[in-house]
Amino acid sequence: MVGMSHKTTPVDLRECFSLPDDRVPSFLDKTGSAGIEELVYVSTCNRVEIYAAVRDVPGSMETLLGILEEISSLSRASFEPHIYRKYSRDAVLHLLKVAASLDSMVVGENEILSQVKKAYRHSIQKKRTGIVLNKLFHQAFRTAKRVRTETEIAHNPLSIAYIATELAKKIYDNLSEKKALLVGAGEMGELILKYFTKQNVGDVTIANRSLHNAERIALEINREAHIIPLEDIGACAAEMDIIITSASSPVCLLTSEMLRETLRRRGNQPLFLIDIAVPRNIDPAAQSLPNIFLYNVDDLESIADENLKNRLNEVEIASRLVESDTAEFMEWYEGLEVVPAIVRIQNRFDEIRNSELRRYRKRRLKHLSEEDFRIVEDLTNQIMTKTLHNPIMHLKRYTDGGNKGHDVRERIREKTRLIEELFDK
Amino acid sequence: MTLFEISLAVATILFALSALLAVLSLHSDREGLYRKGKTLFLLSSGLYLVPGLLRYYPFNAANFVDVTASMWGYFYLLALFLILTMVYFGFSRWKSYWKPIAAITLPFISVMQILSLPFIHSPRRVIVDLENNLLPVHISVTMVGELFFFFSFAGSVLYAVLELQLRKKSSMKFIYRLPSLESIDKFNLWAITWSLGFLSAGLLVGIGLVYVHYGTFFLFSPKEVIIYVSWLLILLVFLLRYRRRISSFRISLVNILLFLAAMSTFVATNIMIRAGFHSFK
Repeated sequence: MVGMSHKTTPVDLRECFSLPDDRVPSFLDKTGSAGIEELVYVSTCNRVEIYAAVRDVPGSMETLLGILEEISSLSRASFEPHIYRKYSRDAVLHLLKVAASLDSMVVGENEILSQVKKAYRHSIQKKRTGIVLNKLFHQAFRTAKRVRTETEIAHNPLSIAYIATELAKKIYDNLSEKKALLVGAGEMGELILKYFTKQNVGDVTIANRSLHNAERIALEINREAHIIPLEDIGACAAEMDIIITSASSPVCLLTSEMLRETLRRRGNQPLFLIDIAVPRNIDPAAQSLPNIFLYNVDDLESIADENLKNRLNEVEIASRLVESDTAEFMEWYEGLEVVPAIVRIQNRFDEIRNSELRRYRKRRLKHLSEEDFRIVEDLTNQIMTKTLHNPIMHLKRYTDGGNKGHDVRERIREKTRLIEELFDK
Repeated sequence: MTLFEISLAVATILFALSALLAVLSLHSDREGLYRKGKTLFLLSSGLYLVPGLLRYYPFNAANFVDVTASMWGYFYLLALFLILTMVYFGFSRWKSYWKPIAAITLPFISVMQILSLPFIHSPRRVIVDLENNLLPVHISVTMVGELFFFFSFAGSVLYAVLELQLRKKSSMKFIYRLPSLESIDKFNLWAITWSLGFLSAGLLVGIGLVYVHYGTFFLFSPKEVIIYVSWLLILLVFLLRYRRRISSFRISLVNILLFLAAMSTFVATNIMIRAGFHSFK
């Protein structure tokens, strides 16, 4: 794996390696023609990483760096200090961490997994993945899912707009049956309303001094939104379930008295108020009223801070999951290295056995009945299996245990090659 | 030790463990703990049937009445009712709320099971001096009413906890583990409505029985008074919830306090009062 991220490389350098979607297929073709067996190119706003499964590691790394030089039009010396290269277990561990969002700028964010999936899809479409990267990326998706379900890393939203919608979901059963009112045309207010609209909030009303601005917001967010003048908010508040205020006003637009009356008219149903205006639009004393859930911008930010702390606490648990999944993958991968050798040795022996049996069947064993000849076949097969049992077990034993360093694995490869050569034609 | 004692001890210990896991799974939100807790709950619930079957064997009417009228039988049936309802919850439309409800209900059942242990060989019985086919109906319908009262208590605890967390404006870690306020509120109204319905039906059957056998509607025994008081408390909670004159949070607090008062009086009087109609003599 070779790559660069927000941790190692400034954005002005990273962007030189970021390919638009339509150029990714040709890049994948190019690496294929350059002899790199399997490859996935992952590009997000925070990272550009190339995962490859190759036989000749140093040669392929050189090729990749050459291709990176070409796509960025930069000299290797200018970007080489910023890139990281990871091999074998380290590369697997890194991908699993990336997919699980443990290496992201905002730990636990949702986007990265879909970006990694998209990168993998590109490679699948161009048939640039094989047994190793297919298994590795599926492992990465499984690990990411485990981290999401078995830790609380994703249970702590950090964006203020998202926190507001999540809080609303903890007050109301079904947002599609609820009515939301946006007071004012502040940017953050609009953003929160956008999130509520995404959650299919039932009915939207926008109140603003300038009806023209209200119409603009309605066009952007919800074309069916009702528009009312700012003065009418007191009258329609009782019909609302969620009120977001972001108007610029020197005085409170919703006083405690107004809200008490609103509650009475609502029959003590809960009312969710988000006041992100500064100065505040809703009388802070209203938060002591029963059934009023009032959050101002500081409240939402302090929840975001707490959530961030919780996410970071979960990183340790998530890292343990990632480590264990990496070990599991490496066990499979290291076992994979000797499988072709074992199959080749078994095939070679079987070839010899069959050709000798055929020869004998024509001459010295031609007097045997079919049944007797099958017994001879079984006997030779048993002798072959037992003869090969020990060498095969030794080969498998070399790879057991996982967590082997680069040198140890090189030695295993060398021994495997040697054993193969011993039985070669 | 007899087979009855061994099976009861094992089931009680396993149930206590499942209750502990239910609380821990809500506290930590670990899926593994939740799954283990639920499996252990089902296992220990199955096992809890064994001492019951052993006690009720041979299965005939006389033995059934004798065991049911005993102190241990009374606690056993109450615990079994709660267990069966929890199993039902696990497959009903409320199944997504099983986890928080279990965190309150399983420890409660566990306490009830432990409370029953000193009475496994108690000779005290409710002496039923009337014979009527409607008597089992009266007992079981009243017990189901009390069971629903318990569920309205559990829901009220959840409501109070969630509202306090929302007002605390701290992290969302705990909030995520609970259902929404509105759905808990709906559940509480559902539970208290059924509680009132069943308890009223049970009381009416009881009044009818007393009238048929004694020619009066009320015998003024302490436990009858307690039952009537419970019914009035449930009616009060129902009216508060139905009319929504005060906030759901305050109604939940009232519900919690009334349930605890009714339940502790109920358990204490069952153990302490020996005289009069309904009592373990």
